[in-house]
Amino acid sequence: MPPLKPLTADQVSALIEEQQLTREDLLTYLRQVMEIRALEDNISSLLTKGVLKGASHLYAGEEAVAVGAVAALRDDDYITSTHRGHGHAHAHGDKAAKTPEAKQEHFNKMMAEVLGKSGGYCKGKGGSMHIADVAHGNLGATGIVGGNLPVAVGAALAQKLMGTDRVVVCFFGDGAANEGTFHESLNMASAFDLPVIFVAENNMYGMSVPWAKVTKLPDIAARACAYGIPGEVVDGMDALVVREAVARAVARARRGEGPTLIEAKTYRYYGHSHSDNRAYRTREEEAEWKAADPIIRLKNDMEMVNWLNDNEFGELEQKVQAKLAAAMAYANASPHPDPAEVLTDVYAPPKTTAADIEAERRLRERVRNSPDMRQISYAQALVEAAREEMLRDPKVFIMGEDVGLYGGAYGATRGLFKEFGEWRVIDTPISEATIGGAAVGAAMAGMRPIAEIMYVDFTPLAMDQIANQGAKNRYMFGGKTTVPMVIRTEGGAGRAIAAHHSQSLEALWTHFPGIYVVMPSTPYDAKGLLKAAIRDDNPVMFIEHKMLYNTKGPVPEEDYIIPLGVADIKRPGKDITLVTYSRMVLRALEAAEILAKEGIDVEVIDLRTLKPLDIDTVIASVKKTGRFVGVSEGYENTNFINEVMAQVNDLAFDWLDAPMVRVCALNVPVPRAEVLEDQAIPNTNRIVEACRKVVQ
Amino acid sequence: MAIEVYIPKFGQTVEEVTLLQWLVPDGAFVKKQQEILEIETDKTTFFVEAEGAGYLHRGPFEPGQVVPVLTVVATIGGPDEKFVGGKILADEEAPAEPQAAEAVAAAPDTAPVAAPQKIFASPRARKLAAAEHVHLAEVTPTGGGGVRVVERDVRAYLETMPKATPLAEKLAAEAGIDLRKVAGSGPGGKITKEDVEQAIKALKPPAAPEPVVAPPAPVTMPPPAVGIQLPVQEVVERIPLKGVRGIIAERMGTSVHTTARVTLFMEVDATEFVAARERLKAKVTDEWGFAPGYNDLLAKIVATALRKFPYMNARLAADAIERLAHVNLGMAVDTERGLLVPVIRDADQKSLRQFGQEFREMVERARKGRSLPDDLTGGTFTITNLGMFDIEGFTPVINLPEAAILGVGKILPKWVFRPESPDKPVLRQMMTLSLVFDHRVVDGAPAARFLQYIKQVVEEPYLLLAA
Repeated sequence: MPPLKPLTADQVSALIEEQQLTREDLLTYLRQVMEIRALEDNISSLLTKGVLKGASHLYAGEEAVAVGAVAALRDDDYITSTHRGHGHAHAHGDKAAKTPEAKQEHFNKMMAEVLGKSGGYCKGKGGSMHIADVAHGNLGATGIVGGNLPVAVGAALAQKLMGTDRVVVCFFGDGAANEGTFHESLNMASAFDLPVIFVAENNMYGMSVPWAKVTKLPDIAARACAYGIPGEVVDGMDALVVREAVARAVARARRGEGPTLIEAKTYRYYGHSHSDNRAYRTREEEAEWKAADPIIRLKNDMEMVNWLNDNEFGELEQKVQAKLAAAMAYANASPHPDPAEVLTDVYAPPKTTAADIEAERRLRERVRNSPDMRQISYAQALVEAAREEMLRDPKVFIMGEDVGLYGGAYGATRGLFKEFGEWRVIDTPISEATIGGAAVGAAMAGMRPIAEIMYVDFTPLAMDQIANQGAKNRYMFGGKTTVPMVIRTEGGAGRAIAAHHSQSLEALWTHFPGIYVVMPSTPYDAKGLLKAAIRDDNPVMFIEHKMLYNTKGPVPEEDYIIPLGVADIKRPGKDITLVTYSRMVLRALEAAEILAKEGIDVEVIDLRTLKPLDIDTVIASVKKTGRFVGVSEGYENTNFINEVMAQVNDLAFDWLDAPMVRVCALNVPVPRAEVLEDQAIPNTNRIVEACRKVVQ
Repeated sequence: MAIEVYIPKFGQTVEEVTLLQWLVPDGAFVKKQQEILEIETDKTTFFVEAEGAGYLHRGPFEPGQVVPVLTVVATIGGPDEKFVGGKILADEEAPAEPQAAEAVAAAPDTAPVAAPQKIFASPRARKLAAAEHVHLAEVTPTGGGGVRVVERDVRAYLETMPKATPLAEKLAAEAGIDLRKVAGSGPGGKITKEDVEQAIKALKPPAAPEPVVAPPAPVTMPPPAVGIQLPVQEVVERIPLKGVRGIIAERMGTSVHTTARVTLFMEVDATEFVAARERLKAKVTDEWGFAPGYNDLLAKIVATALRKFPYMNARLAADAIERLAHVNLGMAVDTERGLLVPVIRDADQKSLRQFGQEFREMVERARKGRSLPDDLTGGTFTITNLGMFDIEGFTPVINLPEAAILGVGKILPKWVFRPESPDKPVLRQMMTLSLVFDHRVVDGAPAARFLQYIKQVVEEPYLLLAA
């Protein structure tokens, strides 16, 4: 138990003077602390009564941290929150609301969201763990411990790139301090001097396990020295103390001097969640902390300077109860979400139109019929796409490992560092999770990042950031944010670099709702699709193929995009519908030529984008041919082509004249030896055999 | 419904097993998957298990007995039920053997309990079949290595369907008539309503025989595979019994099964016959535009013989032997479509030249598939010659409703003793004639006399002038 000493009258006076606070300010802090408490006690009661379903991690006991930290911010600053986030959301939302009516409305929306009602902040789609108000700078809460540290870094990076003096307060718990993202985020933020204040709420227990049992150092703040930044432990039970420390950190950040780590020692009164009986701590310990209750502390502080008497406090208590009653009435009256809402808000609306699709179709014809068109490589096409979009939109920037002077591991950013400089083409630490998460945060804060993950084999390191935060935030937050980012990566076999550098992991990414997956096979497609991906408002996983970078093909000089979700029939045919993408398109075309000599006419469809999937083109083809062969370089087990087959089954079963066949990688790690790799990865022969089989 | 205990089929090669011992007494209660019977194949021994629980009723099968696979050897049911024997007919694991299923389907009277065979067909084939009202069971599968009916199979089937007027189609569908077995009399061979009505009439048993003018009552024959459990074999090609092949299969089977066949062999000295034909050929080929062949000469001789021995120019009706007014000679011809028999009407009345010319025209038409309706019908006697294939003698099948058929073998030089050279053999051109006749219509001696006459004229061709 840390020494929690109540402030003396002198100390309170000094804090008020230093921070130039008014009585109104302190009354506001006290009201906010009390309102959070009232909200949490109410939720606890609803849970006990069984009225409220779902998990609710209650903030009671920790209110001084949120209220004190948010009080140190300007209205245009940002916060990121946690699974125990009601306090952050209320302190921030109450501050953002300028009138009593607006404040009541904010409180109503909090209550309704916790109850999963349509009138909530996220239309009932987020609930207790995902309250967000991105428009006012609350980048939202996450259900993943440590999930929002990289996002906060990204939002801070966006401020640096845009040249603002806004800052980001990143709340997280003691549990998160032992996540890898903590280290990655503090490292990247300190390396780049980003304006972020890391506020560790150390309530001493990661769910049930005491901090002291799983950590050598007593203080999280002591770790700051590892990143060369200030670290400070504060009494997290007193809002004035917290505010003072955060205000100093904010000032430092605004001056461009970088991040600060503040550890607020605090305590959660309730268990980790409703089902927690708190067997891991004593009732005596709880009583000691409750003696230092944030409400009592702030009330005492104010009484010491004669800014509050018992009557006033009593009135305040009544107002809080009335506000809560009104919020409950609003939440109860708020309708359940319309079931039709289940499908809305997954993706931001497309920016391309039917006219764009038609224009691209005509352009494709022209490219095909213009033998004299200039030929450039796939890598060059990608560089051109990024360059054109960076010139077109100052919000577009590149970040990743070795993307700068080196030009990218496969040369897909070559020359851009020289042209755009180190703050448009950013070499990052080798921190995939934070590259991904920073892209999410920067995108939510208004930038359009292109983040490169060197190998798709490394993307699982960033999966939580890209999939749980990036892909889901729009939906969880009720459609009230967009995450316009492109994760560029590359995959595939062919260079004999074995199981950690040769996989095709697109199926991992197509699995998550809220993110698009693009896999071009030609320089023309690569350029047009990357430009479309950059302009799109959704997260896009853009997976290139390492064996295609040097392939050349015709690419128009003009500015063009390829709308996402439009497949390309690379070779028309009447006997078999062969659906594939990425490098396998080239093998499929080879196979088709061999089969043509046998009188088997194969239609090769290049999906180009796996999500959104152009199933219409596939179905139209299957209705023509009656036979389906899917080819993918990914592992056969739960391959994306299986999804295509399932959809064909749903939509064109009666048109099938033979069982569908797929040609995929064997279900083994990609081996190093060429002879084994050739066995594991579909080759032209295997595709030919599969085609023969379906026409047999 | 009793549960059948049958001899399982262990793979493709096992056709029968030896019963070793019953493991459960008759009438005893058995549990599901209890071992009931021990059996032995040529490779190993197995136990037959109960597929369900109940009382075992053993059939008349004893240890040591050899039993074909799929034989039902016992049943499991209530305590008072009795064993009913049988055979597991639908071999679901042998979809490559659809003949078995067709046989079952075509003979519902004899196998009423047969389970329907699962028909594998692609969704696309099912869709097309449904739209075109095609029964998938009638379609020959080629997909998946001959297992699955695919779209092209249905299309191929539809192409074999004869053209018919909509009214005829409707009528046939109502009456359950297979249009492929109906001859079309409309323009271009199109099947008309009248043709279907004829076919319906033909299906009904004749109320009373109409002698003299009526053709013999059609004999309907079950397909040849009836009752035969076809063993599992790798089938490389299936030639549907349709068109000419279907007719051949039906007629030949019917003939063999219904006629009382007797074959007479007679060796004939064809030396003069050959010489006469060579001289004739040298003289008339230019004038006639064709070279008269052995078949022409022989046909002329046979036609003359039929006029002389009218009991051979006859047929069997339901209640009488009918001697026929005209000598209409059928000449069996091998074509790409199979065996066809053009019929030269009044062959006895025609000159050799006329006969030869008409015969050649008919063969030409038959080979092209352009036979006129009368070309292939109405024969009273048939000649079939396999001499060109080095066959010396054979026993052809009578072309019903005719009474007999003459098989002609190869003319071969042979050393024979002749009356003018009793001590040493002389080299002669010899030929074997085989006369197959229906003993129901004609007896052996009269048939032999007929053949003897033919032999005389072949050996001394000038006798034709005396006929």
